[in-house]
Amino acid sequence: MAGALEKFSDEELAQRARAGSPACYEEIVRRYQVPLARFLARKFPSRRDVEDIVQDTLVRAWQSLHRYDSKYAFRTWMFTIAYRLSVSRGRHDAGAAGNENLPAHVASKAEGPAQELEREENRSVLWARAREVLSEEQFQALWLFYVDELAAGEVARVMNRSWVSVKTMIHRARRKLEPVLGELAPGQLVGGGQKTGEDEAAAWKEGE
Amino acid sequence: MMNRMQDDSLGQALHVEGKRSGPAFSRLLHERVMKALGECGMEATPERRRGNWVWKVSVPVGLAAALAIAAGTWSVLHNAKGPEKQQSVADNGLLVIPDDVDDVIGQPTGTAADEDESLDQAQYASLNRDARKLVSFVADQVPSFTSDAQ
Repeated sequence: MAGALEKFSDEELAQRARAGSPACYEEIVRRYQVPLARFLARKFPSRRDVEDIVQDTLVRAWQSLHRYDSKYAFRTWMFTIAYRLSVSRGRHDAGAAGNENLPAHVASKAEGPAQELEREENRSVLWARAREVLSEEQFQALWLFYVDELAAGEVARVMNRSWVSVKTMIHRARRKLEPVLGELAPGQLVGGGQKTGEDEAAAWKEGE
Repeated sequence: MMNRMQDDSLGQALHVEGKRSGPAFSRLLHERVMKALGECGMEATPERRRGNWVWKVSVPVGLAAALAIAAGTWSVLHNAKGPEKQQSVADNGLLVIPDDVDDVIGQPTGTAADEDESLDQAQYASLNRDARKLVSFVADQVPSFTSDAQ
């Protein structure tokens, strides 16, 4: 059944799920588990937290499916829910831990992670450095833009910011990463990515 | 400043490294999410759940409306005096339809009963009026009958 559903776009699956197909929504759950977990893992060091928010996101999305406007990309809508839940959860956790003054990703580093995520990030040198030099918002904007391949306008919608501010945020993040790029040996950078300069230009334009 | 090539390679590196890192697909998490969805009524689709709300509202409102109509009808039927009056007119034999219908038709309906001295005008005024209406109603039916007969 899942194989037959692979050919459908997210938007088609959402429409079918809304019309009464639990199997279509299960396919959405299957597709989004990893991207959502990957996105959230940057902010929450605890795997349990990440899984809780992934679950909340997918359940909330299901409950609100009738409100989804198919004019917009389903991906943007899903990440908007995840982002807002993560902000809400981050605020709650920061208050509970008593480290309100630290951004969540800095605070989480101070906790001494020793987590699976850290091991993953050691392999991903660039993102580990990005986490150190970028603000939380810059990091998330950059992540959504490059890894989840949202256009700048979509990132703006997810983060509830203006398109200009997101464009500026990503631009500044890249400038901050400039020295990092120089530090890394050529072999450490992975080439052959799917998002080329032309793709980026198109993504910027789409945001406009 | 970064040149275009460096910009591209940074973008590519961010994309590939980001895709490669992070948690892999977890069957356990998938099952957990599906279980949570089942508890939230996954079988009932959002459309159906919305339909359920319509039923939940419309059925009580419909029942309340039906009860109100029934109560109103009962109240009107039990408080109305009109039918009883007509019944009493018939039972008391006060309604007299003259044999000579043509004469009655020829008379003004208002004066026929006024001249009937056997009725107590004050006591039976309303009955008198009802009787006159009934007579005039019957009389209205008669010409068509008589004209057909002719």
